[in-house]
Amino acid sequence: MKKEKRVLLVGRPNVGKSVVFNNITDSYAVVSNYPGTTVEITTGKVRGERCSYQVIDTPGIYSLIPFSAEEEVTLKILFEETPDLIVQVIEAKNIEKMLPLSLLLLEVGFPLILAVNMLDEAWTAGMDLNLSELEKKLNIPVIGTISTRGKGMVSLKKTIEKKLIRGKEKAKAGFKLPYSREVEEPVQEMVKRQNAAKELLKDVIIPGKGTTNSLKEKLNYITMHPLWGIPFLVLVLYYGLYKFVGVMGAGVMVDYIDGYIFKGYLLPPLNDLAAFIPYSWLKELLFSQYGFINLGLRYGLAIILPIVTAFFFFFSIIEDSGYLPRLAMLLDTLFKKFGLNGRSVIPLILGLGCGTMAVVAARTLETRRERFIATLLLSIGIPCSAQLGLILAMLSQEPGALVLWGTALLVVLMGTGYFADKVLPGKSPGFYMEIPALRVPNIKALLSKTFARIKWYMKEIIPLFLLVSLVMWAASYVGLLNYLTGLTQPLLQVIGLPPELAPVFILGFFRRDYGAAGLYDLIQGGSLSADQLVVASLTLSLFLPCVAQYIMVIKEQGLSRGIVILFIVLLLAFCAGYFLNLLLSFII
Amino acid sequence: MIRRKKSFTLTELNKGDRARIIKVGGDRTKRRKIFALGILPGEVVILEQKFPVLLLKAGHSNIALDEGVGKNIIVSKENE
Repeated sequence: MKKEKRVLLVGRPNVGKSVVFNNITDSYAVVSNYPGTTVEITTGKVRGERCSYQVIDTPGIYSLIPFSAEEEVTLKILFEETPDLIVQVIEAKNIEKMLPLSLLLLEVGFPLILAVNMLDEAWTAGMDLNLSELEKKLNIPVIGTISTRGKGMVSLKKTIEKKLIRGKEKAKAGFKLPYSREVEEPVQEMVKRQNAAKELLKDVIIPGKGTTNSLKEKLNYITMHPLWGIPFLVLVLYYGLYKFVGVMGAGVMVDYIDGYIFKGYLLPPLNDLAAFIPYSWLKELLFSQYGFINLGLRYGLAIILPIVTAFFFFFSIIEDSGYLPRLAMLLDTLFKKFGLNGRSVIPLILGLGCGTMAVVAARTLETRRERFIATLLLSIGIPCSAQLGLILAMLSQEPGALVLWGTALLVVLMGTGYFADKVLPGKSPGFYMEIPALRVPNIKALLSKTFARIKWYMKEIIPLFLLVSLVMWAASYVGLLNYLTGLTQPLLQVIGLPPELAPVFILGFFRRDYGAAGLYDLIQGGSLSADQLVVASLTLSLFLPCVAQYIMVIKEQGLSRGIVILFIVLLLAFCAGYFLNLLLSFII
Repeated sequence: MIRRKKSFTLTELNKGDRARIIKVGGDRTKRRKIFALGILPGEVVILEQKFPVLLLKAGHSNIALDEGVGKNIIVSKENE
């Protein structure tokens, strides 16, 4: 059988690769993890007029030296999987900076096509490009595209087909370079390549009069400004996280799916079914408070799923619009105090959505030290969207309590980061990052990205919830739950909380927001004072992350570091609760 | 007459200065990564912002660097 031909899309980040991908492939793209990594690779199929082939979208690269685990994957695919054709997507207005990579790819001997994308942006910037001139000079196909408007896609597809069919007889078999991390690439060669690119582009770039988009420029200025950047960030967080994820996702969507679909239509017939089950243990396993249906399905699908969906959508927007790197740049100085740098913004913000995914994302940080600190902070108290939503709802009736909770949480997080930076050996690596242009994200790319993340969530997290309900069922069967609850009660008394809260804490580990939900019930019953509420909210936020996240921490950091993190978290949650309680009792 | 200094580190420049990169210091891997961003000897950059981090404009792209990285980049001032 003939093996299907493979076409690789490569290029720098933010050049519109995924939009090109979505435009040329059929609608069913497959997102999979590259073997042995958590890096996502999107693969799609094209059934062309003359042949069909596979297109692989790869993580952005700057050169053939890997910056991060993601880039390593791109290089591995390039060198180990012998693709039949490479399509390098280039941002037209930055062609001078991106052509050196094309030259490098040609040097290595890859069959290459250039897709010079975002031509419209180049025209706006006052640059006209004579691409046929470039094509002649390089002797490879060069296609001008505006992927967001679908321009040039047909001709790109045609060229790919032509090259695939013709390339067969011409394919050089001998250029397989052994892949190594330390590709020898002295400065002189890079300078030479850059100069060659400039020389090549001499008759290609035709300067003209650009037009200015004043709104875009203003936004660009504001988002990077050390002062104005902060209120803009607050706006993004307020509308994006609070209004969209909190009110829309955690409020409206959850009410609809949980309240209407689940409680109205799905649960009643299932509960009727329960009456027919003769074994009480099975009934417990399926229908009890922590059973498969209640915890596994309803919690995972009706409560958490809508919240993370909203969050993933929000995150894709700030990612694709080019806002995240600006955030990294604004917060770099602050993060340096905690042994991190601007790059860590990405896992930490992701932690506000789903801590488990954030622990995985911490992989993209450069040093082990940074990965550990970021994981520690995520475990201590970056509240995930599920928990955040409930705590905000609970404390919003008492604005003072909300402020107190937020301040205390920040103090603990910052204190821990500061201390970790002082104690841990090694130092923080430098920060350097390309800041891409601000763009209106492409809706198709946004949706496919969000959908890929939701799929990841369903595959990785839902099974864990099912597992947890099994463990909970077993634990309550053998009386372990009662034992743990009994163990927690005296500790709670020390920090001024009633013993009724003990089960809330134990359960909080399994369902992070359940803790908060349990608190909510206690408030409704009027058995908590305002002080106790703040102390309990803080302690719960700092308390163990949910079990899914903790499992991921052990997977990523190893068992011994995982245990260290566990002890730090328990100790901190207890101490912080104790001191806050002490403080509050002094004030009154 | 005071002899004017010829080479500067990026951190010594003022906002808005145009400069040509002479040399990038630091360890090998990091240096290469910075080169890959287009900060190469011979290239002209404009310092757009100094705070909270250094922001360079190189052609049509923007690159943010922290102080530590900027100290290792030696430049000469252009048309002044």
